[in-house]
Amino acid sequence: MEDEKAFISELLDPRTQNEAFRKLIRMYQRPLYAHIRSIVLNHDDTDDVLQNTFVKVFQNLHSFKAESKLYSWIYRIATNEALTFISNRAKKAGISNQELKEQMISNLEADVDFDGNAIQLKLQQAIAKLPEKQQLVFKMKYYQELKYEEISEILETSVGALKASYFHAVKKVEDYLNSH
Amino acid sequence: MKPFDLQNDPKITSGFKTPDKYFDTFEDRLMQKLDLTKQEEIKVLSLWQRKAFWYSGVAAILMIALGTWMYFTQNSVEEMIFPSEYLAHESDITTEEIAVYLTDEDIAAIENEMNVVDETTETYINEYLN
Repeated sequence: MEDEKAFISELLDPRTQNEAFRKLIRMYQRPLYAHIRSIVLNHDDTDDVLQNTFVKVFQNLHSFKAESKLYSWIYRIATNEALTFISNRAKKAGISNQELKEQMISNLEADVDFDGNAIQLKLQQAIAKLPEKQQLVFKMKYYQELKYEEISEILETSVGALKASYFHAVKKVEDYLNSH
Repeated sequence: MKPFDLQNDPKITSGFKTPDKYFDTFEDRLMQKLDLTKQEEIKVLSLWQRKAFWYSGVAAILMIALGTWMYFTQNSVEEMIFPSEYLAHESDITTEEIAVYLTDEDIAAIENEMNVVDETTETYINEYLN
């Protein structure tokens, strides 16, 4: 925690800010990329959202409250950016978020940055059928292997509720995979 | 076919891949973008500052105009008739009537004051108040 305080001070000090922010990028670029990619699916869109996430982090560092951990704050910004991206795109296309996600999954087959097999693709389809919150919890737990406590801080939901949500999500996904 | 059991089966990975060297170049690309964002913020700020300069100019002119107007209207106060002059020149109220509203101490104090008035004042009192 003391290390984090010192790191935040470096991020806020104009003399050390650039170097500290480069360090932050190196620390978070890969896990955040995986998190955002699991939501927006396509590489180019992930790149846009990831850049916007870091820009937002940079612009709002001064308002970061040490009540939450830095990583959960950054993950929260990334999650909001990714979900907002989906909503905006769906709105522009005049379709629901759910319909957009199904379209995005059908595009995956032709995506050069997706080399998944039939089962991987079917798993994506199964996840897309879940309610939005369950999708998030499932992806964070199953793909990114985050701990419940970490997900709880990021999504600001109790661990108990997350466990229940994940349990239901797994059941629905298994049912889908077994019946399709 | 064996039913899926996500908790116990080997993990099904996402199947996503990233273009070669994406993470090697991401840091520099992002820092460039941040520099651009900072420059845009400065431009927006300077435009606001230019606006603020004009707003403060307009506010200053308004203040001067208001001040000038108040200065000239204030002079007309001199033309007002003050209550003391009114009582001395315009009123039918007699000294006795005023004395009703004064205490004995007030009257004694006035008498004391009147004892030290100069001749001009005494003439004035004799001519106008009696």
